[in-house]
Amino acid sequence: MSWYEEHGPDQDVVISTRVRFARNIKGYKFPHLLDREETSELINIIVEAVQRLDPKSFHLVELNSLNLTDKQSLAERHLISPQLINSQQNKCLLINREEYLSVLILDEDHMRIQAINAGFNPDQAFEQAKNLAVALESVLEIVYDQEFGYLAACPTNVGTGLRISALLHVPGLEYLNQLKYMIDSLRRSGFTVRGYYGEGSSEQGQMLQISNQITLGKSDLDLVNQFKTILSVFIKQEREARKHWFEHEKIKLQDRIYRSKAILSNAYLIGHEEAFNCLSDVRLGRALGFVGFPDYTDILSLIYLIGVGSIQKKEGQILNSEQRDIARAKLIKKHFADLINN
Amino acid sequence: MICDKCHKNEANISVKTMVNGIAENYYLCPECARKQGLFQSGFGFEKLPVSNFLGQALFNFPFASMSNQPTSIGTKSNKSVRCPGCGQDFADLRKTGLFGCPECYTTFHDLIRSMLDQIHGGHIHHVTQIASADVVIEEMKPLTEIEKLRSELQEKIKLEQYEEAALIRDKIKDLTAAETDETTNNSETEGEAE
Ligand SMILES: [Zn+2]
Ligand SMILES: [Zn+2]
Repeated sequence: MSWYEEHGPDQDVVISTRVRFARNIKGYKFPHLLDREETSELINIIVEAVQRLDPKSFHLVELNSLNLTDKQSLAERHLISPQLINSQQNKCLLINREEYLSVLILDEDHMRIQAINAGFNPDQAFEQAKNLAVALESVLEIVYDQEFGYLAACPTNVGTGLRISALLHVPGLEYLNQLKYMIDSLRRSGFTVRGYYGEGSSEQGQMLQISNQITLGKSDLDLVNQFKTILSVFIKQEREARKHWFEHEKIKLQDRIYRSKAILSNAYLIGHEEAFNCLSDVRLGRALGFVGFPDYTDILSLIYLIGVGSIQKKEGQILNSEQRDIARAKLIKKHFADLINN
Repeated sequence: MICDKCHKNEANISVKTMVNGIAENYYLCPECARKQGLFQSGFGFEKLPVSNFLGQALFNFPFASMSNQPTSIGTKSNKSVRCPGCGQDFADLRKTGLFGCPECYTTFHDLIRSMLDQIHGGHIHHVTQIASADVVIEEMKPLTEIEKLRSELQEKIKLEQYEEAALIRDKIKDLTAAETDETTNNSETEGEAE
């Protein structure tokens, strides 16, 4: 079972929580300066180390050997960054069976050790990523400096090398025009806010990714706790906003949510953006306890399935935009029929 | 009562404002209130419990702006240091915004220190927009010679005067070395006294 088929805390607002550590290995330049030979040498060292720790559960994905669709699909599930889709360099991803633990090899740093969990679960994600980072430190020579901590290619990752992020569903704050205000205060407090598909993406379907910017000068545990404090305020405010919305414009809210559900259950053609926004509405319906709505886990699986890359991967061929819209509508309709009948 | 904004819906929210000493009172329907980001009581936003300056410092972080302006400063300078680990000089680092290898942290130690100090507030004298009282106390302390040089170094980096920056960096290095010598000597004398 994949992590996104599991339930997690505060799932009405938080879709997933990710923690990753940047780590580099002694005796090698940072990835952008490595030659071909050093690259494959380093990949071998890391792959061997991970497999020595846990030979059964990790499998290796060589990004170079994947086609565009497969890479898009990985990015849509947040396993690699969207920038990596078009990268020509040799990079690898080690990923465990449930897809919650992964090691991205030779991106900006030698290793990005990542754990992703359903709902708002910083403690568990932190523990999982940290355990793997610590274990890897016992079999690899990791670069560590007394003064600066874990050294990284980019100065913004130096210190703990920790980046913690959460993907939030915030239709209430959006609707009440509070999102700009919230985003501004998060940014001023040293947090990065992005859209669902990462850097530069618009805030589609009221989904936001929030992550820490500071990695140095605080312990990794402090960073996690600070993140928890900030996010719990945000979660509470989104719930308040939904309550306000429901109390004051109930009919309009119901109308919007049931219309979106009707579109998803009946459309013959549906573009990605419309599908994404309708799924966001349906997710809100689920959170408000409306009867006959699919579960969070099913909605997230669908969000993963309807991406441009994932839909083509599922169909097993390159599709033009209209073909994709047809395939997408069919897929969603089928899922909805199954989910609602169960 | 009819909404003062759309003149269509029934108003049920009363809004009182004070602008430039002039009090105003008007009435809005729920929809117009929402569009303006106004709510009825019981829906107040808390302030986020973190100070601003860490984020501010990062945005003013000189390295970030350097990597955005790929110019040739530093390349003509024969003073420009190359990292023995990766062969990069500071101009190379500026181009990519990335260090070349872990040894860069030693090679460009003082430059990096001043950059990182800004991120985590080590040298607060140069971080603007701090309003807290204990910071003022910090600022009133006289600066040591090294601290003075460090702040000068940051100024030079900001102004992109890298040759002067390199000279100051060397001075800091010498002073730090002298200081360490002193402390070692002192501890040796103490050791003898015991
Ligand atoms: Zn009105
Ligand atoms: Zn170097």
